[in-house]
Amino acid sequence: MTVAPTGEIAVRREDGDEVQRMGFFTDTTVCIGCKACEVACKQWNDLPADGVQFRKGGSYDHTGALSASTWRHVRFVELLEPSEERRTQAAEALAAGGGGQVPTLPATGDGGEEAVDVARAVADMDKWIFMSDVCKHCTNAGCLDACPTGALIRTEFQTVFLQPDVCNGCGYCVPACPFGVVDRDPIDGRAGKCTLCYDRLLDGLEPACAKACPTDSIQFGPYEDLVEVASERVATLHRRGVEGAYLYGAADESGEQLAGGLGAFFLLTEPPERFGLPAQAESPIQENVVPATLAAIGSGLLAAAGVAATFFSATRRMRR
Amino acid sequence: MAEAHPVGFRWVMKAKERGARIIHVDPRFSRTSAMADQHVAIRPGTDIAFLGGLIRHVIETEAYFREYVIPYTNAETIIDERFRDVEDLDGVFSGLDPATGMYDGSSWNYAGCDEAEVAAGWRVHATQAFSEHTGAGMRLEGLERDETLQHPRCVFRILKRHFSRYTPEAVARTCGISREDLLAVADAVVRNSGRDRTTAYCYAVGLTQHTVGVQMIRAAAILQLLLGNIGRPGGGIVALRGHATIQGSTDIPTLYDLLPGYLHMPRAGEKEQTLAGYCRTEGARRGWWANFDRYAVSLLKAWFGEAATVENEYGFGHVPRLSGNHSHFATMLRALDGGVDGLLVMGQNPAVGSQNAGLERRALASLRWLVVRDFAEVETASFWRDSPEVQSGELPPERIQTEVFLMPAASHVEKEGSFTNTQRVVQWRDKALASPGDARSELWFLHHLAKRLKEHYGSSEEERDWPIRHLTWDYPEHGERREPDAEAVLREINGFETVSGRLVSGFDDLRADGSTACGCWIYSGIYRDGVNQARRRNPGDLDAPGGWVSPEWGWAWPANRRALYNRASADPDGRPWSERKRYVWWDEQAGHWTGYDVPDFPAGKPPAYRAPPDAEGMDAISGDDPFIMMADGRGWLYSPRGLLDGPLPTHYEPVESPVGNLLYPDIGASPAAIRWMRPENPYHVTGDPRFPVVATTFRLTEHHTAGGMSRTLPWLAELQPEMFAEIDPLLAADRGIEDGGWMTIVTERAEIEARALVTDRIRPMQVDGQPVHRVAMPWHYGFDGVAVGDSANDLIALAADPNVSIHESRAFTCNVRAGRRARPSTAPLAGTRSARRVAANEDDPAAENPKEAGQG
Amino acid sequence: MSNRPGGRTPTARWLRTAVGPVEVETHEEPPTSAGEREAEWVTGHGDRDMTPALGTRGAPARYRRAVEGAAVALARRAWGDARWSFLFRSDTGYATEQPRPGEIEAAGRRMRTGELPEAVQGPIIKPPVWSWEVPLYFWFGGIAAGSSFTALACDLASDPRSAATARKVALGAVAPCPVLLMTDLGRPLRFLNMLRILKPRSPMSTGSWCITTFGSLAAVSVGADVLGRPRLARALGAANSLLGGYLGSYTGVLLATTAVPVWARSRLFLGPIFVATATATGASATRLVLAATGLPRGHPTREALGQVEAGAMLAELTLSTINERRLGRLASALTEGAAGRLFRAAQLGVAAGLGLRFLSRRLGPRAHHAASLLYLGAGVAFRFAWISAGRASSADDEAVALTARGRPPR
Ligand SMILES: Nc1nc2c(c(=O)[nH]1)N[C@H]1C(S)=C(S)[C@@H](COP(=O)(O)OP(=O)(O)OC[C@H]3O[C@@H](n4cnc5c(=O)[nH]c(N)nc54)[C@H](O)[C@@H]3O)O[C@H]1N2
Ligand SMILES: Nc1nc2c(c(=O)[nH]1)N[C@H]1C(S)=C(S)[C@@H](COP(=O)(O)OP(=O)(O)OC[C@H]3O[C@@H](n4cnc5c(=O)[nH]c(N)nc54)[C@H](O)[C@@H]3O)O[C@H]1N2
Ligand code: SF4
Ligand code: SF4
Ligand code: SF4
Ligand code: SF4
Ligand code: SF4
Ligand SMILES: [Mo]
Repeated sequence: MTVAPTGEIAVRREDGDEVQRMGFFTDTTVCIGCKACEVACKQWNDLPADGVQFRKGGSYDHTGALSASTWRHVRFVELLEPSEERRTQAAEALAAGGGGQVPTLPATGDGGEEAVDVARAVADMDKWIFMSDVCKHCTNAGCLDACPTGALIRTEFQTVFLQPDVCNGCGYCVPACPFGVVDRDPIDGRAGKCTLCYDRLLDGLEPACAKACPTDSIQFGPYEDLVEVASERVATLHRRGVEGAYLYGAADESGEQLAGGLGAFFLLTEPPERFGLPAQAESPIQENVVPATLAAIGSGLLAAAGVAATFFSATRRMRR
Repeated sequence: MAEAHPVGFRWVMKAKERGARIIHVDPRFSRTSAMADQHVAIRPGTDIAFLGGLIRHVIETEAYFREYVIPYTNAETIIDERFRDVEDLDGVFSGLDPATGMYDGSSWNYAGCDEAEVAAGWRVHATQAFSEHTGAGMRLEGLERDETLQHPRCVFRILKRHFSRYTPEAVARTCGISREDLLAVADAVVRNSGRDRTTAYCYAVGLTQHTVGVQMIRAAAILQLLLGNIGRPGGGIVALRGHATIQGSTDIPTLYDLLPGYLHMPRAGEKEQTLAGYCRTEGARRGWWANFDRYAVSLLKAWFGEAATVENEYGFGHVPRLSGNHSHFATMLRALDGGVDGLLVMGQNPAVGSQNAGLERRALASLRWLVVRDFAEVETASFWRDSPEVQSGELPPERIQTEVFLMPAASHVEKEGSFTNTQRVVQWRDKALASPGDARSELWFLHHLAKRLKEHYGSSEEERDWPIRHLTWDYPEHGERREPDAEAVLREINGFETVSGRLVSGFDDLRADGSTACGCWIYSGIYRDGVNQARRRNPGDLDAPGGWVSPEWGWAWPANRRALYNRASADPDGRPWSERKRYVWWDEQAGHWTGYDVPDFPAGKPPAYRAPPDAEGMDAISGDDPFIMMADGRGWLYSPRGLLDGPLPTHYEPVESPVGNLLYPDIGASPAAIRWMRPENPYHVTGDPRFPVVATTFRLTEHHTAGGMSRTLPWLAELQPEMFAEIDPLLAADRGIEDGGWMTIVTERAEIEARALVTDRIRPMQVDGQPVHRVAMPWHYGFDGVAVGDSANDLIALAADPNVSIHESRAFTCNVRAGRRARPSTAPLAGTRSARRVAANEDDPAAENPKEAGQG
Repeated sequence: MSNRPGGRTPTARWLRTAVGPVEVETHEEPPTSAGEREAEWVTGHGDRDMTPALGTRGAPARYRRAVEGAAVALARRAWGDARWSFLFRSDTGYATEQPRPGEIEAAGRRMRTGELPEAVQGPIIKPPVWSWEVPLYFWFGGIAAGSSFTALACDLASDPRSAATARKVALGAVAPCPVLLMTDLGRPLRFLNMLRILKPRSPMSTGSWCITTFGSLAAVSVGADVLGRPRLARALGAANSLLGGYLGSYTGVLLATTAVPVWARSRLFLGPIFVATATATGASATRLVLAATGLPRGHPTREALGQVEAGAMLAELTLSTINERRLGRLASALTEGAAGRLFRAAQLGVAAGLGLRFLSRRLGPRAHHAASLLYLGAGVAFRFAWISAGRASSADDEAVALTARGRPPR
């Protein structure tokens, strides 16, 4: 048995050491949604397919979310920004055709009678955003903090690695991840998530997903350098008028960081919730464990004392 | 492009980062549109109208690149006085025979060039031969030109008049786009063309798969020529080709009407009985094609070796003659009529991928035997037990006589070979893994098949077996499996001297006297200096001026030229048009052409050279005629020959359309389009109220073509798990179709079911003031594999472009309704069999050439 | 090797500091002829055995750990193949502008604070995967903890017989716990992996150690009772009641230290609530066993237990109600759906129990027994309710998003 160091919470810098923190910078402004990363990850890690089911409302996304068997996942966000002009045009076209119905088209379905919101129907679809999501390899990793078996470890690359031969599938890491990344596989029984291709890193290879990405939306590299380049990218986009560009998970002021800073961070142009990401996050353990434990132990002792007191008084009363 | 050429698209993204403006013209808002600066949601099948609008804009606003257009194109050339444009004849050109739908194009010729044989008649058969389209065989001695462009019959004036009706308003009405969309595109391309800038036009099958597909690309070519964007860096009309090395398989063709290197398959008939006759009709006295005989003879020497002699015309008499249209559809229709015994299907899945797939499968069921070489049991191999026709009881397996042999194929990583990519760069790849089990490469299969055939016919005395007996077949084998050496084949393709066996260093070395052999002249030089040039992977110094050309990365045909006609990147005097667009130029001191790329011009011919009127061969090309493959050395704004449906692109509606032709009200679809009028192939008439919705098909990044390589793979199958159709919310609401729910798409040919993807990415449009809805379907799905679904191709009728027999799967009409289909998809056509019967050894011109049967 | 000019060359800088001068191994040149290539490169693989190591043929296999030290072809030292790619080259203008001081931080802050955007496209977090074993374990563990309090109290109140019984109850209650925990594990046979490490910051780790120790002590103390070593038994029992304080409450901490809004936002309440339930159910269980084993009615221990169970249940209700109020919007996870139904059932059970208890004077001891049973039942319902509330809360994307933005609306 080993006792885990309590202080091993923030990433250690190993100055002068060969290895340093490696991470991902995923730039959604150049992602073309090809899912090559998703497939490359499955192939490299020999992960099973999740089944062949059409997902309603998922745009072109049929795998849905990160899971124990999907460690890279490409999200599709269809954004509608109907221009005023478009709205009027559509409304006029419809008015000309006849009271909310589709003109000249023989209706064959049940919906034929229903009024249709044409303005919405012909909304000017001008943004379709793709985002390749992955484990964030948090500095303050909830999953790592939670793991009772020590299956989750911080590697020499400062990434968060799940040792599948240690994990017993307790499932604690699952709700402990503020990003909904890690999951327990219902068949395999163990938890699974991105390894940041630890095995490839050991062999000096770039992670499979980054290697496969045709537009280099996924950049792999030393963390500090990635942050530098990413910041320059944001600045470049700002100068080009993409006001909404920002980094999700890096270059924040301390105190505003997401889980202490994300080893895999993103360049986004829409609020994080559009991509299923929380606007703020911290390792729930680091956030809550001390107050919650104090309250709990306090109340435990109180309860024990209370019980004892009740007994005393009861006995005394009886004796009297 | 982001969808189907994602790796190529990285360069578009790079260009975008450097400030390029990306315009996407596509009926659907796709992943490409998401990356584009502007998306133009055009109605399927109306690209000529759109491009015509741009051409008109460029001409009317005088935005064309005059210094380029006058010397480099045929703008100033005068056309025969018999020529009548569509303007004069209500939508058709002079020379149309309305009964057959065929043109006699003799009136389209240049004035003063009496050309013995043009257009119709013997050229009815589809062809992709370069020589056909380049004016080979044209006599140009009497060519008349008017540099002032004032002559009413000069190409420029004809062009201007032809496109005058393509006003922004008319285009907007026809294409279902806004006038502003068109003008914004026009403005962008004009501003981005000229001396300092170039615009590239990328297209793929959204533009080709129409009955006017060839003319759509012609329209793009005209626009690019007018703007001076051909033969220059960053310009061009870039065909984004399909399958891996599909370019290679047209260069060294798997096409019925071509021999390697775009030499035309000799045709049955008097003219091409002899080698001399063949070279005469095909070759030319002027321009590059004057070398035709060298390439033809060297090819015959490569085939027949020692046995090919002057006396027997190098075996030319034994080369099969083309007797009709033997393209895919014609062949399959013949099969349907019982006229084909057996079929070898290697790397194709027509049971899913070909139009009117139900007909296709019924044709497969009419064969005696069928060999399918593939990785998995694709639908083409399994149709006899699980196709919709079997499910519907129309074709019980016990009644299908076709004996199917499924042979496992080795994949591209399991064999050596080359890929020729979309820009003609040949890249060799080594074998990475041994193929599993009995899976063998194509080369292995054909090599051992050929050896067995040679053995079988070895003692035959029959004249017809001469080619098999004398075919040279000495490729060395290696390994336990006796795999033939792919590089030996490449050396033969490169060409060698027949006596010494020494490899030639390029097609300049080829001779017509039998002293050289060459498997494909355009690839000659690929094994230059005994080195497999295609295996080179040296990007070179990318930061050096012009270093981005990377001439030592692989090898490009011809002669490692990366951009064709690159003489046009310099002005008539041989100077770069601008410093920014420097590419190939005349070096005055050294007295030859030089540049970043291999100049596509005789190296020592000075810009000032003027061809004497009676010159022959390359001497007839002047120093400022960059288009050396064309008989007149010019880029053709107007095609005096080579096309079967007119010298200029004209907007015709698709064969099936909900609306009439708004530009030429008297005519709907192209009069020259091939239509197969058979009960198995019913068409919808224009405006048929039963089929008010426009349908188109498209590809998904996640799947590959007919799905044999992607629907069988769980990792890809899960990404796009089921057949779906994209429709707009308005249509969905009207028909009660729910997102993610089932819908049925109906045509006369079939009814298929699909999941509905209701999305604002598809919008209803206004065509001539009427709302028109679209439904877009991926066509990857079939009944086998992990991800299964109905095939979009079950819905589509066979109709084709007359020039190259490309099908029209991009625009047809249909109807949609909520819910699943009630019966197997192709049941609507069950039992509609024509009574036609053909024997396997019988000629059937009617089936092979619908035109000849007057079915236009 | 890098494509970026000057000193602003991240890769170069990194490589310099990391591995000194860059040495990208020159790629081994393949043999020149196809035959040699075949012999040297390909034939080594032989006829590939296509049977997958795991899974079904033609379908991808499950995750396997890479073989230690196995060579991977084409390996490059130090990610030579991961140098900045084309989009990052200076000529693309991809990343060229220097940010103004504070610009990047401000951009992030702008998008990550303030009002929630109109559309939230979930899922944001994963629902907990725990199934029925876990709440049941919470319940049993709670009973064990509660009985350990009782045992201590009995000892202190000089009722060794009842104390011994309470210790037996604790042992009996803790006995199914490992089984339940194991069956909930994805890999039950790896239960012992919990004990390969002690992680003070992981409540599940400390909890595992706690329950292991508690169980062992409970067993030994009962053994001591049986062997007639009351002093040892008493000492162990006392120790266990301390552990029981953690055993009964850490489960609440475990839930509180997750990203599930309704749990995390109840962090100061979950422990106390769980302890209250533990105390009540422990008392009820002991009370019933004592009554069954002949402890007479009116015995102070029975009286005291009656008070404890009622008091603890009341405390539970009070704490829950306060918590529910302060949770605001997040409380919907507790009041709606399956969790809501369970909570209401539990509350009803408690109310009925309290009523019966006061009526027991008239209705006799059986009514009081029924009350105890009702408390026990309410305890189970509470445990299941909390777990199911967690599931509902994590599926409520808006709640998760709001919680993350730090502004759950009231
Ligand atoms: N992932 C993937 N890549 C592929 C393939 C594949 O199957 N999967 N196939 C390969 C092959 S064989 C080929 S040929 C290429 C084809 O490559 P593409 O031609 O790029 O592929 P498509 O998606 O078939 O067609 C492109 C677009 O044309 C649009 N379109 C339809 N009708 C029209 C029209 O009338 N006008 C215009 N302007 N656009 C229209 C469709 O909406 C579609 O978005 O891709 C190759 N690459
Ligand atoms: N409606 C509609 N129909 C279309 C199109 C469209 O856009 N819309 N597009 C058309 C186009 S552009 C094309 S190219 C066709 C494609 O249609 P097909 O060529 O009929 O379909 P593929 O699926 O590409 O068939 C190729 C097969 O070759 C197998 N294969 C791959 N590699 C090898 C190999 O090395 N050896 C052997 N023996 N087999 C191999 C694959 O597994 C696959 O089954 O479809 C056309 N059909
Ligand atoms: S907490 Fe989640 S995102 Fe962070 S390292 Fe763990 S699994 Fe990855
Ligand atoms: S499921 Fe595995 S990785 Fe996750 S916390 Fe439990 S033991 Fe650790
Ligand atoms: S780093 Fe490796 S494990 Fe992680 S997503 Fe990429 S390919 Fe998958
Ligand atoms: S991140 Fe790269 S590989 Fe993944 S979908 Fe985007 S472009 Fe494709
Ligand atoms: S499949 Fe191959 S050829 Fe096609 S885009 Fe991808 S990498 Fe290029
Ligand atoms: Mo294709």
